[in-house]
Amino acid sequence: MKGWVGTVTIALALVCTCGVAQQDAVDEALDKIATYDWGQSRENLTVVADLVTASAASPEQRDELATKLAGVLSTDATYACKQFVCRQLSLIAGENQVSALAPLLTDEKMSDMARYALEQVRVQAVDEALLDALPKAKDSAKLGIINSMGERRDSMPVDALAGLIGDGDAKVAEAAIAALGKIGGAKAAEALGTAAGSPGPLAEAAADAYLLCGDALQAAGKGKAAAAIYDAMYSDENQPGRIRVAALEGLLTAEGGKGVDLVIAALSSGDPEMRGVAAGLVRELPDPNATKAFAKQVAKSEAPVQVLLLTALADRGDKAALPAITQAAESGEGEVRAAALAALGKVGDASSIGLLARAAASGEGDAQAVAQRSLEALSDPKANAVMMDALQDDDAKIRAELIRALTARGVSDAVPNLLETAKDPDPAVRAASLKALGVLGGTDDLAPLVALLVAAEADAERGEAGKAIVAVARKGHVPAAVTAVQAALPTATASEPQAALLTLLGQIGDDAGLDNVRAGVKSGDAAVQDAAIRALAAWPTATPLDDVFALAENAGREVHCILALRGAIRMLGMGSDRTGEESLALYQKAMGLATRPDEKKMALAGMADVGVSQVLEVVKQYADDPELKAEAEKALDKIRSRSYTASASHNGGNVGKALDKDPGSRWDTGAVQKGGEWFMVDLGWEDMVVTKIVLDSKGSSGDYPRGYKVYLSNNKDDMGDPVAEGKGETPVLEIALKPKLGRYLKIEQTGSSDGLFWSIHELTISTEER
Amino acid sequence: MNSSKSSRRSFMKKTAVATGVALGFPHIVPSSALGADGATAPSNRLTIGHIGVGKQGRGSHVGALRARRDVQILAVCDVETGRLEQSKNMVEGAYAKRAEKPSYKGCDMYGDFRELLARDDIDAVVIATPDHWHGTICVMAAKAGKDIYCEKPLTRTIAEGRALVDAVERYGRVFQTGSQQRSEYQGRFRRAAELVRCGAIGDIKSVDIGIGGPPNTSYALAPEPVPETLDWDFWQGPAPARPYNSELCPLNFDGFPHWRYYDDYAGGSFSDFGAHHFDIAQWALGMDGTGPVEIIPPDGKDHERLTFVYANGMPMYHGGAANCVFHGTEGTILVSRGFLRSEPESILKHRLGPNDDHLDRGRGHREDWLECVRTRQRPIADAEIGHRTSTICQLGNIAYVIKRPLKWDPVAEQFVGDDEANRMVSRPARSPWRV
Repeated sequence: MKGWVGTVTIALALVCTCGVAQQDAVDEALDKIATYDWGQSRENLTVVADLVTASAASPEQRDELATKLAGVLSTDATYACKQFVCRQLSLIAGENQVSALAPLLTDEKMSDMARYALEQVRVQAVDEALLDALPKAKDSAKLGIINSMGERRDSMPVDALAGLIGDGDAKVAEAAIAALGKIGGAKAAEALGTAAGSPGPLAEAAADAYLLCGDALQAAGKGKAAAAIYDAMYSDENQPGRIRVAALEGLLTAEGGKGVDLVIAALSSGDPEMRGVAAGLVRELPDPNATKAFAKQVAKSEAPVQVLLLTALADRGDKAALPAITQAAESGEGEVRAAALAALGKVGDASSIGLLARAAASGEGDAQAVAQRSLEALSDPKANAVMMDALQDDDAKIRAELIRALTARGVSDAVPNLLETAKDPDPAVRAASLKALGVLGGTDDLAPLVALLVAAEADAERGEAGKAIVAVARKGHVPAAVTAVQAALPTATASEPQAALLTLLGQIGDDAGLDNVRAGVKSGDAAVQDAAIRALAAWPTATPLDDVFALAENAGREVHCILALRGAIRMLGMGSDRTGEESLALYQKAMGLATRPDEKKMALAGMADVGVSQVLEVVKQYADDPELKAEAEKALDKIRSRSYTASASHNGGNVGKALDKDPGSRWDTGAVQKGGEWFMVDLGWEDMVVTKIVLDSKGSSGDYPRGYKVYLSNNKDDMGDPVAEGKGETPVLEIALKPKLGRYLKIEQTGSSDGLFWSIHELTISTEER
Repeated sequence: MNSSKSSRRSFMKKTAVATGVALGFPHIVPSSALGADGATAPSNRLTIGHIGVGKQGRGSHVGALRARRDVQILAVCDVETGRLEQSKNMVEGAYAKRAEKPSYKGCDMYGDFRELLARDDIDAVVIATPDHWHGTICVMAAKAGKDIYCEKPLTRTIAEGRALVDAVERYGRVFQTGSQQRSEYQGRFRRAAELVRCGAIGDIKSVDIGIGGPPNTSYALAPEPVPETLDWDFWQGPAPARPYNSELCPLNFDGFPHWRYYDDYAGGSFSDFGAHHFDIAQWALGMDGTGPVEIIPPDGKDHERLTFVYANGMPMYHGGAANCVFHGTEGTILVSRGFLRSEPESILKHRLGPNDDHLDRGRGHREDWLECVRTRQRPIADAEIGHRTSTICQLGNIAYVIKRPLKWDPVAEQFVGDDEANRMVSRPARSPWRV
């Protein structure tokens, strides 16, 4: 990123310094750039560029500066310098600099950059210079001049360009045609119309340019003249299809969007390209009568065109197409039917629900998916009520589809109906209803839902009911959900529902239900006890930490011990009032109870987050165990890197972005690199060995440090000698450090840039402990 | 001097763009396009040419499209013969494997995209060249009647972008900008846009866009010998001529090359990722067909960050805690490629109603383009959308260079009362190229 504030201030000072001193400063800056060549420092160029920017404050001084810059073009300065000068002139040149640039238009090497400087200068002298240079220029320079004439859109060179349409050099003729198209106007159009109607290799280019003239006329409010051009090209069957397509679109524009017959004719065309574009026009033609006319074409067309038409009518969104779409949805086949069903989602109303529900219930691949989405999308305000009424349909598949649609539409008014359909004889309808209740239900629906769970006869259905209850609970109704479950516990005398209710309490995870679960652990019923232990082990808070530790030691079955231990380790990772030492001791206890590597690895991973210094020694004990080595080393890395804190000479609030493992964020100086800027990392431990650092500034690739010194020391007030130093030349700098011990790593920027910040998108530090 | 916004087709409703209302159609492939075994018959496959087969063109697009049975890649084009041959081999190898034959021939190589565009048997092109080429190639492709998928950022200059949109409209082409965040990343960005649009966080107060900085105008790149396999002059195309340096066009390099950080060819990280994240902001704000009206560069005092201001007064800042952060009167939504978060969390549970904007098309970004080629619908990131997003990137970069607040007229696509800034709306092309 450019650090422009400082540099512009200096440049402004130069520009505003009146008299000889200022002129001397400008002259000196220009002298210094005369020998600039590719790859050299751009420091002197930056001074000139800043002068150009700062000159905006004074038109007179800007003109003087532009004249001095233009003067460089007649010296023996390098090409690289002159290119730079032309870039600057492109921003500030005016009438007074045209005469210095004009001779370069015919210079094969400088012509492009002369045009670069001139093309945007809005004075007539530039058009005169281009016209004057045209007959003198050759080859590439000539083509460039013609192109610039086109870009400037001035009518002055029209006669000259028209004369080039028949040029023996096809490239010149084609460029002239393109330029005439951009310039437009009656004369250009006349020349292009003749060329477009004459057979030859450039006829299509001329037709394209001719249409462009039509566009310009249309934009200028001359619709009749534009229509004549479009009509000429559309009616000419010798024109390529793409030209006629473009002409057709233009014709419709010129006629104010009327032209239904033209579009229908194009739809019936044997040319697929014409048909495709016509379908696009069906979408967008504003004629209010167009929809009915297009809709009539649906039944008359072949299948591929029907698909295009139906899709386009859907996008039109006009209800006038509904009868034709409905007919196609009822009687069409395959892709035509699918297109019609999809169109109903946009154009249909409540009367479409029966048809869509039958299609959705059909189970027929594309048609089913399309109909489902259309049921969801219907915007008729009556649609929800009609769907709820239709839940009485005899066909269970239709009932299930309507429930699915009501769910997707978020119709909470349907909950009473859904509580009824949750008792439907059909299992698929019951399952859909429970799922819907989870989405749409509220606090008042919890007790009926729990009752449904208790009454359910199969595990799967209990599971669905449980999911619905949890979903409702998580909408802010947790206490009500626990109360509802607790109220039902005494009524659930059978083993399965009792176990399901305890599982549910675990899934809700509110401590108010904990005692019920604890009681379940002591149950003599194996299924109830299993459910209770699993619920406890998966408890989402750390409240039952002691319970699970106890179970890890004493549960009767090994699987319960393992589940409890895993639960305990997970809970240790949650926030608590324990001291770090206490947490570490509990992790060590878990390590002692673990009999398998999996749980030991879990504990090691958790230990890495314990914020006490002893943790390093504890984890290191496991680094030699082949089964645990990888996890232990990962934990050690995490422990070490967690202790990093950073500070910097600039922009201290953002230092964390250099260490956040996100190359998309960055720390930067917010100021141009001058030397002396620094970035320091406290590694958190004394006597660390840093073998290598990587400074990544790819995201702002010019912002790498131009020079650097790296220090490492245990005393941040006495960093000692650098452990690495060098020049930066790439966006990613990998820097190896000399061996030294230390806690503080400091990177000092020692170079200067042409106006760029120093940024660190990511700093990677490779450490070893002594 | 520059082409003002064309009025061609301006009477049209442009329903898809204007409202963003659900366009989600499942695949509707005419059965007439299917072979008896359900595989697409060769005569009905969409035929494709790839222009630019570097990291993105080859690694992403050729790699994905060669595996599709409804697509046939007929040609590849690049200015570097190594990449060209590698791409041809990828395509032909895949087709040979599919046909269970030892070899397959039928993917031609071109060094000049004009020769590829001249082929009448190619329906559509995928353009993944450096940005400074996009405008010229897209306009020529539209004129040649090709449907187009073009990588983002859409063009190098605002004027090129308008010329591109006009050509695509004039020739009725189906055009997709490669802003795939609208279609991919598990729908996170789409969901964020839907939530913003339906008012889940209330009225939008401001937007933060967390991306990198503007391009490097410093070319401290020493001349190096031009590799024998590279047509360096063609690579530069409409950009000012300079000697070769491998920083700009590295060979045997599997990353995203750094031309994107240099001003003649691209708009730096600001445009590279701005083309994605400003695009999401435009989408979410319902601003797809327009853009901000004021751009204020950082001044070290009142404006710490580059600020865009929309006509309704809402500011959008460069820099933020996520790629896109939407601050509303009732909450905040943060979305990046890896996460979607909200404050409060409950906002993410908000359900859309039938009358809210449902933006999900139920398909990937390339798939959306392919489907629209068949149905002639507008893709989810059509030319106008890509151009408007690219324009924001360029407005920001111009403000960073010109260093003073700018007023922008998004209808005329000109700066208001600033001739110097208006000179940056377009750039003269090196001969013989033009847009």
